[in-house]
Amino acid sequence: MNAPVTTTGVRAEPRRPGVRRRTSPRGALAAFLRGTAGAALLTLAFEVFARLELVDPRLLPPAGVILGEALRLLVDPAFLVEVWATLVAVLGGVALAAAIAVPLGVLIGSYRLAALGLTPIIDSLRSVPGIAIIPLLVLVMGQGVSMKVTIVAFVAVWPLLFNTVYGVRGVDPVAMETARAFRVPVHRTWWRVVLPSALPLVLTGLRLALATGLTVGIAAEIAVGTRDGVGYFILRASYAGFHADTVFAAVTLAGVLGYLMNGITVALTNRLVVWDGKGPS
Amino acid sequence: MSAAHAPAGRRAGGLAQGLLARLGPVVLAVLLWQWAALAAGSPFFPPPGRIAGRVAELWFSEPLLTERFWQDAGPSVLRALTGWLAGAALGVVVGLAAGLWKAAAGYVDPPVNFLRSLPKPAIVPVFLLVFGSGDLMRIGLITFGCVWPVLLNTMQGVRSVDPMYLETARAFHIPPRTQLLRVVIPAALPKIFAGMRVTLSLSLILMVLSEWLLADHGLGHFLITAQRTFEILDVWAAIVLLGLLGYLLNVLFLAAERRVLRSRPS
Amino acid sequence: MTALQVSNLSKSYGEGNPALHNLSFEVREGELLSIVGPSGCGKTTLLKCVAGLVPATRGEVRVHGEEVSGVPEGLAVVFQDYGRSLFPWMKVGQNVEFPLETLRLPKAERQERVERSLAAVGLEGKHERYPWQLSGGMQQRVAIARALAYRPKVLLMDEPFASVDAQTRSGLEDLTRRVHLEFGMTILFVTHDIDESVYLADRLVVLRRSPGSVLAELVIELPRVRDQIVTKSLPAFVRQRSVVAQHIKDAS
Ligand SMILES: Nc1ncnc2c1ncn2[C@@H]1O[C@H](COP(=O)(O)OP(=O)(O)O)[C@@H](O)[C@H]1O
Ligand SMILES: [Mg+2]
Repeated sequence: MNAPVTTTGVRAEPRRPGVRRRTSPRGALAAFLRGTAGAALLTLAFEVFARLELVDPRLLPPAGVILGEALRLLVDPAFLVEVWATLVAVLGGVALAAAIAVPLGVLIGSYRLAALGLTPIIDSLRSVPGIAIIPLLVLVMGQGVSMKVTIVAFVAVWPLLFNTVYGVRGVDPVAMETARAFRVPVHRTWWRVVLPSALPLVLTGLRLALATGLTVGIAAEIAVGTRDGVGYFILRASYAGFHADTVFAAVTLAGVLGYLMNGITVALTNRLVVWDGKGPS
Repeated sequence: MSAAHAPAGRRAGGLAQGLLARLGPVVLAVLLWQWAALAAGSPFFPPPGRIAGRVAELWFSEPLLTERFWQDAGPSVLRALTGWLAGAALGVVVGLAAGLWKAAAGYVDPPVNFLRSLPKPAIVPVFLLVFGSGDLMRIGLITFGCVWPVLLNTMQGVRSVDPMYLETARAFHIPPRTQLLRVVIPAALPKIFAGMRVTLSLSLILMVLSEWLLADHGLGHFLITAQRTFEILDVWAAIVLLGLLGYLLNVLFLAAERRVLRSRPS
Repeated sequence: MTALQVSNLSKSYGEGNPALHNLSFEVREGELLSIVGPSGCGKTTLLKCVAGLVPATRGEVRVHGEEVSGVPEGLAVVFQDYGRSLFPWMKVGQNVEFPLETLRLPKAERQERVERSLAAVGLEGKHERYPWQLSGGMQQRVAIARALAYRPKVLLMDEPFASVDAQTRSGLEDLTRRVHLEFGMTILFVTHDIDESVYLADRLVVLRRSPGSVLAELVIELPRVRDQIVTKSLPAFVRQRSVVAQHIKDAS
């Protein structure tokens, strides 16, 4: 079975005592300003590249134009409906994946025999690039939201599963022994000891699952899949006369969506697991 | 059984048990699938036996691999791997520079984070239309998609180098080039590999997607054609082949990773 | 009455790795028995066998006459690693209350016990803190409060004060002695510190190393109510601590 991963995909390490950086409001403002400056620089570079007109400007509009169009899309109900469609599919799929992956991960992480028996099945399923089953799903389930939810769930289940397994295996044996010494029953131990202890890693899995889910959900919308969603919007704007500014603006906003989803999960994690890193080494 | 044989006997028994626990559920799952598929008779769910037969017939006969295999899978895999490697190389080089330049961190991170969060499939239509659908452009597309996670991880890896190491290196007057090669890069390697593991599957997604939208050969093209002509068995066969390739690439990658990282504590 | 009886107990972790060999002793109801021995002599192993957390290889443990297989009822453990034994995701109050939920006590009674036991260890009003916001000594007091709230008949303590500073340690020793008298439960107290073992105990068992077995047993002849300065300068204390020290020195 695969090693667990953190957001950046790196092998997660056991909890270590560490101080979470607490930024003061002023520090946060400075960081925000620096980030904005960096983003502005990137935008400027894009602007210059576009203005050089190495590529036909009808195909590659300058940044200023794209940003203007993005602002327009942000208040355009026709676009927001598509964002909503994508969001519903991604959140629904990830929720379904979590409902499967977390209990299964607790099982696999707790019982060696379950790990032994299920690993080959999981490894073979996981090897299939999620995108490959989209055509089949379209045939079976049609192009509706259930197809999108299913494909998102199929790809989102793995990071959640592996991180849960790893989190469960990482539960401190002394904590488990304490629960046993007080004769706490198994189900309550899972609920009150194992899951909270695994929560930081599970949430990291959730962050990865959301990113992968959004990637594949949009891929499904672009590929063949659907008649709605951000991906469909981009595809339509690309092929119906190619409104370059609209397409680029929509792509940018899709990036913002991914960025926000990531940021919200991070914020949620920080609120939910105040204790993470506070334990002993 | 005599006492002297007991441990060996127990070991053999344990081995058999382990094998049973490992393979039993898989075999059971496949048998169940076969039985369910036969019982249901749904056109969408052919029994695994027929799928396996189709896979063998299409790609794995006449001694080992058919001509079709090279036609269908060859170019696709080559494109994905080239794009993936180019993306990784670019990500590492830029990531090293950006990671070492500490003052730039606050400015660089948010845009890179944004580009990493950008759902890459969204750029596929744009890329194909703006830059065309030639092989080079497809590879460029995959490269663009694969750069950001590696870049971000490299930067973080470089920054996470224990300052003690660098202070020690400086104290011993070790030249910067050696510091980079012997201290910074080795310390960042696990994160670099982690980024590359993420982008390996991303490269396959982008490859398949780009072949769906515009291509006249390749695995993605095969898959989408099979779907459009309702050749369900071929759709399943393509899924299995992609799964096999995904598995193989992952195994190779993990082996390489283990070799490179073997000298470090896990 | 015998609260706890250990007979011919042996424990090995895998073949040829014995940790305990043929240990026998008993603890009477309401007694505080110290077990003292050098690091690695199998004290934790012994305690886990008594608690039913690991199975014995040979021999048996009886708690109130019942043979131990699995954790017996009415028993609580205070682990050496308080930091790992307190759950960092639960506040202090929740940590103390958690084992009570399994006892199916009504909420009001649970609250009452939490209050009382936190007060008994001098941590009134700290319910809403997280354990990691407290000092090491305070954390170990939370662990003791958790055990007290459980109202065990037998309390096992595994080097509970080994990782706190000396001053805090004296305070915690007195606290242990006080709650022992106040709550009247049987306590099995494991330590590698000779002074501590003599100061706390009604009776004392000295263990030898590799594999752990009983080296000596002695009754401590000190008054029931003790004081760090007064008791430790009593001739009886001084004599008995050197007896124990001599035993351990001879064995090594
Ligand atoms: N889970 C275990 N597996 C194997 N050996 C162990 C285990 N726990 C303890 N031991 C060994 O048993 C011996 C006694 O250990 P322990 O009971 O922890 O001693 P103490 O608590 O007196 O320091 C030591 O040699 C230790 O290495
Ligand atoms: Mg110990």
